Amino acid sequence: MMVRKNLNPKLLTLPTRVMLALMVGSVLNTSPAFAADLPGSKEIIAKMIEAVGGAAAMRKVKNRVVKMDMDMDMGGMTAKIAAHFARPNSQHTSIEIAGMGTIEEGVSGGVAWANSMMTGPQIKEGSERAVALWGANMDGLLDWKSHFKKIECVGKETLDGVEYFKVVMTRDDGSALATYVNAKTYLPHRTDMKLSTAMGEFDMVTYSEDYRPVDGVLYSYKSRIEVMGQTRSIAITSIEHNVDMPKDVFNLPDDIKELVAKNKADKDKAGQSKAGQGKP
Amino acid sequence: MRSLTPLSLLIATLLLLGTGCSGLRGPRLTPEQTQLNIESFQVVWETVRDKHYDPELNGLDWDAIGEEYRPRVENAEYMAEARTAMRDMLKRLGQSHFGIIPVSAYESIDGEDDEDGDDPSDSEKKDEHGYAGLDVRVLDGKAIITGVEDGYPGAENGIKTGWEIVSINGRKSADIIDKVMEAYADSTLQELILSRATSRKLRGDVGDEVKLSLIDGDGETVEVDLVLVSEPGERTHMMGLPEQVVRIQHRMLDGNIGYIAFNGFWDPNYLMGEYGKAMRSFMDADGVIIDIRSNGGGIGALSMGMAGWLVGEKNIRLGTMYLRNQEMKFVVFPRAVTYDGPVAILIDGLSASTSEFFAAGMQDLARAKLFGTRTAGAALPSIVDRLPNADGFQYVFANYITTGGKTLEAVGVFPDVQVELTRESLLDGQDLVMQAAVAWIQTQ
Repeated sequence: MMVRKNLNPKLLTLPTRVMLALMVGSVLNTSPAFAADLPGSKEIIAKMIEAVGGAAAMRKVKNRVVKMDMDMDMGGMTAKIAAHFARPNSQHTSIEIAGMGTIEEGVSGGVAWANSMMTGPQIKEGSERAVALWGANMDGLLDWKSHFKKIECVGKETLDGVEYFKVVMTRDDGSALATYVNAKTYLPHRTDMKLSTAMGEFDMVTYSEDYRPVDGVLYSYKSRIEVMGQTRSIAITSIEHNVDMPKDVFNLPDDIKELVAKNKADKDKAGQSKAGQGKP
Repeated sequence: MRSLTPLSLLIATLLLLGTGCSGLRGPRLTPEQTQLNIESFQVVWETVRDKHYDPELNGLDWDAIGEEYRPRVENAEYMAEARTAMRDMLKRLGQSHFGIIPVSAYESIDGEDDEDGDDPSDSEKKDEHGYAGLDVRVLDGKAIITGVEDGYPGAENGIKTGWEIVSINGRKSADIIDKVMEAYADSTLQELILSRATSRKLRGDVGDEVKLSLIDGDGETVEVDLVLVSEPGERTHMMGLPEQVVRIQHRMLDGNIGYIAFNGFWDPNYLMGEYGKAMRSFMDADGVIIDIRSNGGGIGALSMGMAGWLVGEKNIRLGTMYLRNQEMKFVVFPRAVTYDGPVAILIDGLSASTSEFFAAGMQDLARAKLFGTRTAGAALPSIVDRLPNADGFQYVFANYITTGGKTLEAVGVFPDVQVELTRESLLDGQDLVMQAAVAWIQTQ
């Protein structure tokens, strides 16, 4: 008899949301940056850019469509993922999880949002928003200063017999991630981060493997994400550059538009109230 | 096999533990089976050690406990002995939601009992959702029809609410009820298991015939042969679980009160879509009733999504799930438009799992008043894996605490207004719980 796993579904949603954030932030964007203010950092950044194809090749990519399959070590759960990116920083990801519904995430016009059929629509804030904006920036590697206030190459570490540079990247809000970059190839191998979400903070480790070129730019075709004691494996099935994208692919969903309008109205109301406090 | 939800697996486990399983020993184990049992024991022991949310296991010396029980598995001559050894080890944890589930138990809870002598492989044919359109509860020790759905076999054959089921296919309801009541005398799960144990007998394949002996409102015996039809609702599959059938109904009641009922927290695209439509249509209602009686739960996150239509304040949570070294907040993401009128939630002893997360959270937030009876108290997040010997293994890996600091497991959610069903009111066609909720809303 085939051995299979069943899982209490109440556990699934958070790892899925966490996975999403991580996927956007770390898997699709092979963009660690390096300590410009420490010896060797500029060199590492330059070699890193060169390793993934060079700035010229990267800038030729005006938009990108990535399709992926995801397997989760929970009851055989699988998902189909489609992610769209366009310059300078638009992104939309759709995840169809069998039996679990649809989860969408995106960045458009500076609004970072998520819309899950399970938990409802949400405008991202704080470091969750920062992670999303970093993931959406197609020039994330070249434009690292827009996303991080401090980057340090803190040393070398050996993982499974391979030597890596350990680079710590810190955002304005103090949140940080650590990327292990192969000391020979300058390709990222592992990223450790603590993701802050509305549902809590989660330690995650992402492993990036199987780099392949697409139009002269290298992408990790296989990733493994470890979070909350569970593992997600992501395999890219296709990457396309500079395609004719539907014009509305990055449009905010109606539920998100409603939230944006409500937030604006709430702020306006709060502003009027504050202004009125000084009047007789 | 149908509706093999994690909850039903739990029930199967508890039922088997509570009744001591069957006395059948089965054939002697082969060396290969013994080896698989030893491997299974190791998986069970390591899983508890590595996955339980409390790394200290409440102070137990798990290494010593493993060494104590391992020889019993190694030396077991029969399958039942090996399972009992593993169960006994798990009992040392002193928690529910742990269990070793024989393959036959999956069919026992979803189809016929082992005691009926069915070949377990027969259950593989029971994939159809044969449906009688009847809801059954045990009231005062008797199996009573509490719901009759128009247009389905029960109603077509003239069955009414309040009638008593004396036997199903010749098997006396009293036998099942006595057994479960004795085994679960002190358990919050008693009502749920009683209902499942009786109503499961009304299940089968589409086209199956079910013979019922009933007592009507006049005390007369009525014999009815039902032919099961296909169960209505949306079919959904997830995570290797058997097909789930999801139903949601919503309408506006007299008095401008919105009413919404659903049988499980499954199929988000369908369920949450319909729930959202309902909530948008209720925005001008004088009150909303959310009926989660008999709702056994499902995907926990849906409780957050549903609350998002009812709670306008940000940074609010229903509760927190505590894993080993991590915690996950069940946060409410408010919709742009939320309903801010009075909300009544109807609960009973069959409301379990995600239903309890939702009801308890809304109660703690003072956002809803709960009507009915105490819920099942089956709310520990757990996983069911299959072991190398093909048995099931259910284990807890997280704890859940409500936003008000309450534990739900083995406690349940208590209603604000206790309302019991009675046979007399059912015979009169009344739903006392619903009536109490409507009356409360009308005073708001």
